[in-house]
Amino acid sequence: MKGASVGYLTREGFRNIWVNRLLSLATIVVLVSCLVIVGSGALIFLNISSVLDLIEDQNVVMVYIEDNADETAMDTLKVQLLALDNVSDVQFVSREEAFERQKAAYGDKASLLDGLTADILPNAYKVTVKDIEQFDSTVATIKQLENVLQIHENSELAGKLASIRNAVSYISLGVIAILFFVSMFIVANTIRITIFNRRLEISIMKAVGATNSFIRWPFMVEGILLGLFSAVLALGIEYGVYSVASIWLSDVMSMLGGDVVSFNEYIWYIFGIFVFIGVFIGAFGSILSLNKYLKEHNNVVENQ
Amino acid sequence: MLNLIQFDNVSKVYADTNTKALSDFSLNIETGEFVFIVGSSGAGKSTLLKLMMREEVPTSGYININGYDLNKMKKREIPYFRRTLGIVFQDFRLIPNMNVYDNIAYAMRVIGARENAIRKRVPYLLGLVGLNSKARSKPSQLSGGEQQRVALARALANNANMIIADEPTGNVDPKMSYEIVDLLNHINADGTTVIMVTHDLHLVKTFNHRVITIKNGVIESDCPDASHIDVEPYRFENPEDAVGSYFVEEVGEDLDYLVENYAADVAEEVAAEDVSSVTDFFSEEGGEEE
Repeated sequence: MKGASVGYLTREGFRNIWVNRLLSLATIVVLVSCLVIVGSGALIFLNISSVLDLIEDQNVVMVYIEDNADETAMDTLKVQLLALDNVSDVQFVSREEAFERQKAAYGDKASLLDGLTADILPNAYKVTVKDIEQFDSTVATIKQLENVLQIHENSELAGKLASIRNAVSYISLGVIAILFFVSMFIVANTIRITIFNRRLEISIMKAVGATNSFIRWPFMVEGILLGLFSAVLALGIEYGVYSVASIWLSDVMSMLGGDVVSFNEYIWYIFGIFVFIGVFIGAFGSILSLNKYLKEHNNVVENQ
Repeated sequence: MLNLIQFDNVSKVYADTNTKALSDFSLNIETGEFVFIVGSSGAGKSTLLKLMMREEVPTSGYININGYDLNKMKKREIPYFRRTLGIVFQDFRLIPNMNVYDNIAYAMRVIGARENAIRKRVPYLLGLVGLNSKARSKPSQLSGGEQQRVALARALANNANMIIADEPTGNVDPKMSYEIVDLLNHINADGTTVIMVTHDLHLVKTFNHRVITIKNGVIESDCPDASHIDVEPYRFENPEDAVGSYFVEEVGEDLDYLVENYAADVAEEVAAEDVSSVTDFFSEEGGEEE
């Protein structure tokens, strides 16, 4: 294709949008709605994710050590713990420390512990787990190590968190996939109507010997442009919606001890997704319709 | 002479309805010929045109047009083959929201012609069909005859060496029919092959070219002239009625316009030829009638 043709065909694409402006507007509205829903889904997911991160960070297992373990045995255990894939941090908590903490926790009634010494408590390692989904298997592995007296863990919480995260990601993916196909279908239909409006031109193009790629290009350009417009518009609307929602969200988040995920942090990421989805849907929607049309209507001699 | 169109024992059966549109059809048309194809509806004319445009492929037999073997042609070669043909339809098929200039330019644009080539070619074509003064008119502002002339100019835009006209006069009155075929005649005189499908035997008689009659999918007769057709040719009381607006009013204006627009010499030639031959024709015919 020559340079001059690309210019002409691109102009034709712009012209199509203008000539069918009502339909173009309808397509943009639908695409923008889909993109905003996808974007909102992603932002909700990001926020839930950050809450889960917060909780996971506090996700520790207390590994109590056998009383008869000597220094070397304890060091060996520490090395073994650190060597586990799913362990991010191991801290030694001596029985003295634990005893002091226990006293502090009793506050006024600390005198109750007066007759006792730290010897009643075991030494322990405070182990931080990386991936909460593998929590159970990690705990099982730790139990089998030597010199481990007992493990104190909260696997129920870990399980819940993991399943929430899974559910959230599956639901978001499902919603995105459904919207993706819905918008593609709608764009394909819009382009089908513009094709219908231009069937005379298409039949003339075929009669005078325009190649299929030449016939296709303006519709492709039209679809891609609609996708791009929608992406930009959706980003603006998403920004506004999220700003308002943040006010409400920040209450919830501060209750959980976190902060609302900042839009600016993810703005390019979201814009990238919007442009990708918009352009992909636009281009494929138009190609699907046009290929179908060109296959079904190949007559030149008789008017369609 | 070179065979421009060659049909060898071509049959066409439509599978879906199992109708036999053409059977054992053989035909040769040479470069520079003017051929009328006549026949009642359902005789196979449409199928013939569809095969010529490579919209359909024959069930059996061999077709060669313009040196293209249509049996072996690949799908992606079809557009390039069609550029060598110019087609004109009964319903004109002009794009209503484009003016005359753009309608003609459109045929060049969609095959990727450069804008400066278009700027040279379109005024020449407008001059050829005598419509330079209407370049900015919309099709709806033109008469049927004028619209068909625009369609003809469009068919010629990409230097086709053959015009296929599918009942080009079906939607216009006899006077304008005459104008259109007369124009085709002049285009033919410059070396372009013309194949015209028509119902109008008066026109066939008037222009007296080779006539191929199709009936039930076979050639009933193929005569070098129209002497066997027993109808009266068109005669107009007043010669200007037939060709009035086209030649008398517009030629002067066109020439001025064309002198400024590249193709002046050709237009001058065309205009001079047109006027003399048409007036000659009518003075003869008119003389007899009186």
